Amino acid sequence: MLIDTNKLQKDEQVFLEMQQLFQSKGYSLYKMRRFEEYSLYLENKKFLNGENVITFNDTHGKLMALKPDVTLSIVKNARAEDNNQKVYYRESVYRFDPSSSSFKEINQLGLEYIGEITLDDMGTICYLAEQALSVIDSKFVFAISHMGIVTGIIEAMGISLENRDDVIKAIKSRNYEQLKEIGLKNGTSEDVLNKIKGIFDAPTEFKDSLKALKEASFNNDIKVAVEELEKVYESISKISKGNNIRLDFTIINDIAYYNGIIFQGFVSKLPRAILSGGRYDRLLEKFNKQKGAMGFALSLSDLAVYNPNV
Amino acid sequence: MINIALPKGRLGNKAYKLLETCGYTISELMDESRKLVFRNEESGVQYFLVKPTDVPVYVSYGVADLGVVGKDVLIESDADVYSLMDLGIGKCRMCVAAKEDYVEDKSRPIIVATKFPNIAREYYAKEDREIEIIKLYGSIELAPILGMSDVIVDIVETGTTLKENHLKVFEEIMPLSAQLIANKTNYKFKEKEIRDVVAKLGEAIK
Repeated sequence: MLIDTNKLQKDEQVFLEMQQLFQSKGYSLYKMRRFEEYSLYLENKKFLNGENVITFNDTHGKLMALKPDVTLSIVKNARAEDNNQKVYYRESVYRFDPSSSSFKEINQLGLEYIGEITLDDMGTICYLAEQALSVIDSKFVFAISHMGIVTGIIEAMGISLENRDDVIKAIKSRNYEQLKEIGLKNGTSEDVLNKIKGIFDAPTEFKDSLKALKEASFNNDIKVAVEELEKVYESISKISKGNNIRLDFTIINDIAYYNGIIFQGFVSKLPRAILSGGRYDRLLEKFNKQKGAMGFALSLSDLAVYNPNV
Repeated sequence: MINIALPKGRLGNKAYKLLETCGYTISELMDESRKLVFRNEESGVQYFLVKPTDVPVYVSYGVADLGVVGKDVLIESDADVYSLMDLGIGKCRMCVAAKEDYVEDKSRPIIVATKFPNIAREYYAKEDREIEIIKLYGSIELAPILGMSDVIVDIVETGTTLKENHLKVFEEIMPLSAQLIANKTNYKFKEKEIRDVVAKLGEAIK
């Protein structure tokens, strides 16, 4: 039977096209069950960015949860003896939705790479994310950043742990005035603040933004970030045109889990990021696994709501 | 075309005057009409007049690229948007006020009446103080006068209303003013236009 993919709903179409592309790059489908022991989520509350999970008791009285996340299960089950694990999945996750004050089923398409990750691997993962976006909408933006930028800014500003969240909030909302206020209260030097202003003022065009970051390379974290971003950008440019790549330092994932390259994807019809991902070696450390890890997920449910037709 | 959500009322009028000096003009906007959408092809701008508390909603759903909103409303809404600049208009303070002779009873939680439960909750959490919140939608000053609450958390502009009702400010929580906010996705697609608005506004408020 032949299927005309052009007549399918957008979410189905994206899945089928991406499945082919993922497989061509050596990723295989990962199927899992819908629930997991609740303790997994209790121990990694911050990774989930919210603590509301649907729980139930299994027949032996054990507290279980409907999966709010897929990455945690893949990481938990990754075996030390497996070298490089390259998987993709299409699964439903169940999360609390604050706007409707109720639980929501979200269908996710994602990809994870656990193992020795080279710069080229990082480039390929970014390329795959970029491709997924281009399948959804020719008008898309792939915005990339690096966790070293935020940790570097925090260190250069001399910010204590308790004020860290305020700094992150100011960066995420692109609010330099608020960041400056925090800096002045904490004795950040004018020179550092001016350089940070340079980062805020630069356009997100990759080269402009990178230049501003280079000028503000006040510590090792930012230097490493600049170096990795530059190399990954080169690596993506080798396989894709790279016209829609932006360097956006306001993208920040949780410091406790993410390190290195992070990114988000935007398409014109959706008011929020449809795709997000990055390098999360720190999550593996929490499971005592000495491996690198990187991946991304995109919400097929959001596509079905905002962009249902071809 | 840049879409801007303006709050109906005094703050919206002030914000429009600022935007007008930057060339984002729509002459009929200041008329007393009941229209809600105003568009000017020439200056490339479209304004929506919305309820002040709805500004962050229109912006976070991307219908409006930009919005002008009081810091009080923005913090209370907890919207995931960019806050690009302080417009320096609509300046006032978020305060804790109570009856002039109020003395805090530390042996029990404080009863707080407010339009801003999130701001009140966060402030007292930092003070390590247990509170009971009564959410009101207007005439907040009445609550302590009638003995329904111990204090209020509310916006204070000149302090005249407080004085006339024999209330006074006990703590200032934060200074407030109007912010220019932007949708994070639209910023990516209309970066040049949005940066242009920000640069012009920056010049205008210098």
